[in-house]
Amino acid sequence: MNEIQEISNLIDKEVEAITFADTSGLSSKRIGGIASARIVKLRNPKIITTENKIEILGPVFLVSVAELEKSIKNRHKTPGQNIFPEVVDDFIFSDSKEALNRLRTFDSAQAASDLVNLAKLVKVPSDSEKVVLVSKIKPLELVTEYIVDGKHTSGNFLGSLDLPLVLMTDNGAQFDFENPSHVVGTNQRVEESMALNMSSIMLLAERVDDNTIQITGGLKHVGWGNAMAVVSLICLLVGAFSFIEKRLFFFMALLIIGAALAIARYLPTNWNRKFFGMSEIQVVGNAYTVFKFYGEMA
Amino acid sequence: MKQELIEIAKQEQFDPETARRLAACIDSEFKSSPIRYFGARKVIIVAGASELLSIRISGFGESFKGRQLTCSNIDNPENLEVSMAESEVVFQSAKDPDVLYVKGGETSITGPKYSDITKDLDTLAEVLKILPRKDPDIVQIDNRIYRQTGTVYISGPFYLVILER
Repeated sequence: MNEIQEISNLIDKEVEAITFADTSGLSSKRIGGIASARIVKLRNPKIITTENKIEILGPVFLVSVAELEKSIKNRHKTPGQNIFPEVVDDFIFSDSKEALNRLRTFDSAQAASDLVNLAKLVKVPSDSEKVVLVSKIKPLELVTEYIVDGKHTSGNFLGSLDLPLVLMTDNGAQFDFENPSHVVGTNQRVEESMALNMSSIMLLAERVDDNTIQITGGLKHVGWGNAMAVVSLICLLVGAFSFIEKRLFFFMALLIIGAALAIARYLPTNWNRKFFGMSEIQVVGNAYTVFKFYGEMA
Repeated sequence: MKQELIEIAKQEQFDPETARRLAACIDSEFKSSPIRYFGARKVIIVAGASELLSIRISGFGESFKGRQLTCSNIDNPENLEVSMAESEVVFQSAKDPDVLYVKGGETSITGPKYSDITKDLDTLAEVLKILPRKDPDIVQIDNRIYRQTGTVYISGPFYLVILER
């Protein structure tokens, strides 16, 4: 049985002990179960992956790659039509040198730094199922100093990590778990979702529940826009039919109305932008890291 | 209402400060409160004389009965949130607005559901600003004209530069 499986069994036993603990005794700060969280903050954690043992000094954040991508895509915006989310995908997945060029007219130093760091963590779309440990979220800063299998590493960044992996610390951890989670405590108020401040924790990250989706929003008066497009098309079609039937007055009138509606709807004028809005790509939803854990509340 | 308040104030489990506040409110006027949400470090709820409080705590299967309930945040810097939106009647003392007489419905007290660790995931950076354009608008090389080019670099063994100001 490998080490991660042994720890998984240990966590199961501890959670079972908490679940069936006698609640009439002394108050206990023990808590555990299965939780979904967007981000977990840990201080001085030790990490066990299927391949390595890693130690990091200082505070780090455990977050799924998909959640981090969402955060960066939504963080920066370009004025007018927001092209930043497209630039993120182009930069990471197409390895497009042109991607950053699309930002050359903007003061994009901070955005470029976030992009470059994100690109170090993500190589292919399926990486969104992995997790990362970063030293700062905003601006994005990677972990560059850590001990891997007893060997001190400095300068090289810590990349994304495959699941499952174990994290443990006796120096504090913090996370907000979301519904649905199954967390139990001994003599503790435990709700469907709540903020937890732990003094010690043993955590096994099992999977990423990614329900993020990229949507286009920011449009206004969509019904009016569609109606104008349809009426314009009908006018132009009936106008063409009138021309065939040699009804020149109808042809002219319908042609003018149809063209005017089409211009009003599709010509990118200031009025058009103000009335119909600008389409804007946004990432909505969350990519939770699902883990089982036990430990003591602070 | 006054009689009920007198009977509640007679109970001996209050600390002196709470007892003093309660005694001061007995003769004051109580008016209907338009506010149904409050933030507090400590909340004391005492049952009227006739019935005990019925208390549910999320996560616990059983419900509880009690005469007095006290919730407080000591280490946690966040205030407790007290919601009386579901209560039928909320009267507020004119003398001490933090003394409320609540009738019917349900009052909820909750701690912070979320900490600030997700803050950095959600906050936007400043919108990227358009850089001031310093590049030449028009660059003419012999008969060829280029517009809005990038920076132009010139090198050569010898050349003349003439500036117009």
